[in-house]
Order: sequence, then structure tokens, then C-alpha cells
Amino acid sequence: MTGEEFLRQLNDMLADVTEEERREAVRYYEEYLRDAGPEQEQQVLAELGSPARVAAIIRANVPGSRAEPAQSASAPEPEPPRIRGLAPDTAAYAGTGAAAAAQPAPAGVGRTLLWWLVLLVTSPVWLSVLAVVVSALAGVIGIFLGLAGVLLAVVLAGIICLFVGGVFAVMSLWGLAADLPNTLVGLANCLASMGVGFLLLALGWAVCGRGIPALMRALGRLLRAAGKGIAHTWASLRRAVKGGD
Amino acid sequence: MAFNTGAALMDALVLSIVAQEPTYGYKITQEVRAVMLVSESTLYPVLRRLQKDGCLDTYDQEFAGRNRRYYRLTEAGRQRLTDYRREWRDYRRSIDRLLLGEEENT
Repeated sequence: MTGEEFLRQLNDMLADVTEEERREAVRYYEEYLRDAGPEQEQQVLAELGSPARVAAIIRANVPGSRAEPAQSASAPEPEPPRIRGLAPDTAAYAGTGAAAAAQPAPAGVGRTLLWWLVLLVTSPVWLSVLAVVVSALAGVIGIFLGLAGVLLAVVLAGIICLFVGGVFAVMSLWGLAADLPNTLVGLANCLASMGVGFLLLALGWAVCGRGIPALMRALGRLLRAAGKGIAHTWASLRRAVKGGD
Repeated sequence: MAFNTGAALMDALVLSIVAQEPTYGYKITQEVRAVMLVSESTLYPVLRRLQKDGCLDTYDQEFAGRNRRYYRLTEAGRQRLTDYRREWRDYRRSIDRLLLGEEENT
């Protein structure tokens, strides 16, 4: 990499800091490379490290440099200074320090963009999963409602039988004097019908009274569990994209 | 206890170098690197921070047909250097006592 190339890349890497900071930084390093002299240029560039690293150090250590409010939590610190002559392997310290600080974190803006890009690219997958889940839930709700409907129908049938049977019973009693055998048969039919009616009502009442609330509770539990599962998966996905470096 | 971070020591050294005579970034870096193993990219944030804190001032001076930016100490910078020097004497004394087992000499 030439000095020009380094400065150009540094300028690009500092896109997310304020205009003033970017100008100052590029100017500083431009003069720095010139003062080092052409013979030293390659050596200095090697020591400085990648433009990305230099940019990250600036972002992390110059207060008020960021153009956006949020600070990236994982920006690298500059290596702590080591005193010369203190230990035989201080050169090793400087080396590992430089290497450790070599991976800059992407800017907060970049990470949000990455997150949306991931969402977009994987949309066929999660959209279809979502569709399956929603239709399964709809199906289950449908079944529950159907069962509740059946129960209600049974109760209604019971009431109707009772009513019809009762009406005809009264009507046949009215014609008792005119035609006894027919009246008796008619009465028997009515009583039977009323009996069935009572039975159905009792059945329906018992099941409805217990059954429908229980069904609703079960449905509620199912929906809550599904909701929690979806939220949990979403959060894990967000963490995986945003937290990873 | 100003010197328990490396940053404070760096600030103090830079201020002391500039106090001797106004000078430019490359030269400051070389002087620091004479006593400390730091990367060439470490100094710029220090200089920039001191500038923003009002301890350093910059001016341009022509050199070999082009502009070169020089750093000089402000009044606030001079004061901060004095504080750092006093802190350093205390710090060094405590370390010496502990590390070298020296008697306290005033």
C-alpha cells in the first residue's frame, strides 16, 4: 500500500466521524508520512497498521469524534505503553498489542444495516415459517371454536326439543276428551321428546359449563406459549447478528 | 493516583515534550518512542484530546515549501503539566518505597 492509498482508505474508514475530525486526522497522517520521509514510508505504514485499525483507534480515543450518539462497545483500546528496557520481551508485548488491536469493530450504523440486510436476505425462510405458524394457529383456533359451537348446538337442540315437546303436550292435553288413544300416543311422543330435551340440556349444561371455559383456557395457554416462542427466537436472532463481531 | 492509567502518563509526557519547545506530530512521536514502546498510531488521539481539552494549541509554519502543523502549550496545558509533575514525584516516591524498600527522603 502506498501512502496515498493509506490516506484515501483512512478517509473512507472515518466516514462515520464528524467532518472536522476526519479532516484533522487525515491531515495529521498526511504530514506524518511526509515528515517520516519516503525511505521510511513503508516501515511507518507497517507500524501504523491498517487504515481500519487507525480509524478505530481514533474513533475510540478521541472524545466527541463520532457523528452518531451511540459508542461501539467493542472498539479497541490503544495498547498500554510499555517502558523500554523494563523486560526482555517488551518487543513481544508491543507485537501482541498491535495484533490484538488489529480487528476494529464495525460502526454502529454498519451493524444496523447488516441486521436489516440479514432480515431481507433470509425473508423467504422466516416469512414461510411465520406463514406456517400462523395458519397452524388459525387451524387450532378453528377447531376449538368448532367444538364450542357443537356444544352450543347440543344445548340449543335440547331447549328446542323441550319447547316443542311441551307445546305439543299442552295441545294434546287440550284434545284429551275428543280422542283418547291418539291423544295418549301424542302425549307419549311429547313426553319422550321432552325427556330427550331435558337430557340434552343437562348434558349440554354440564359440558358447556365446564367444557367451554376449559377450552378457552387451553386456547389461551397455547397462544401465549406460541407468542413467547416467537419472541424468544426473534431476540436470539437479534443478539446473534448484533452481538457478534 | 493520576498514573494508574497509561493514558495519563502519555498526556504528561507529550505535554512535557511540547513544553521544551513547540514541535510537530512526527517529532513528538519519535521522542515518546525513545522511552516507550507505543505504536505510531497511539499519539494522534492523545494530541487531539489535549487539543480539545485546551492544553495544546496548533499553528502552521512553512517548512521546505509546505505547511507543517506545530503544537504548543497553552496556559491551561502548562498548569496541567505542573500538576502531573507533582503527581509523578509522589507516585514515584510511593513506588520506590514499596519496590526498592527505600527510606522516605524528603
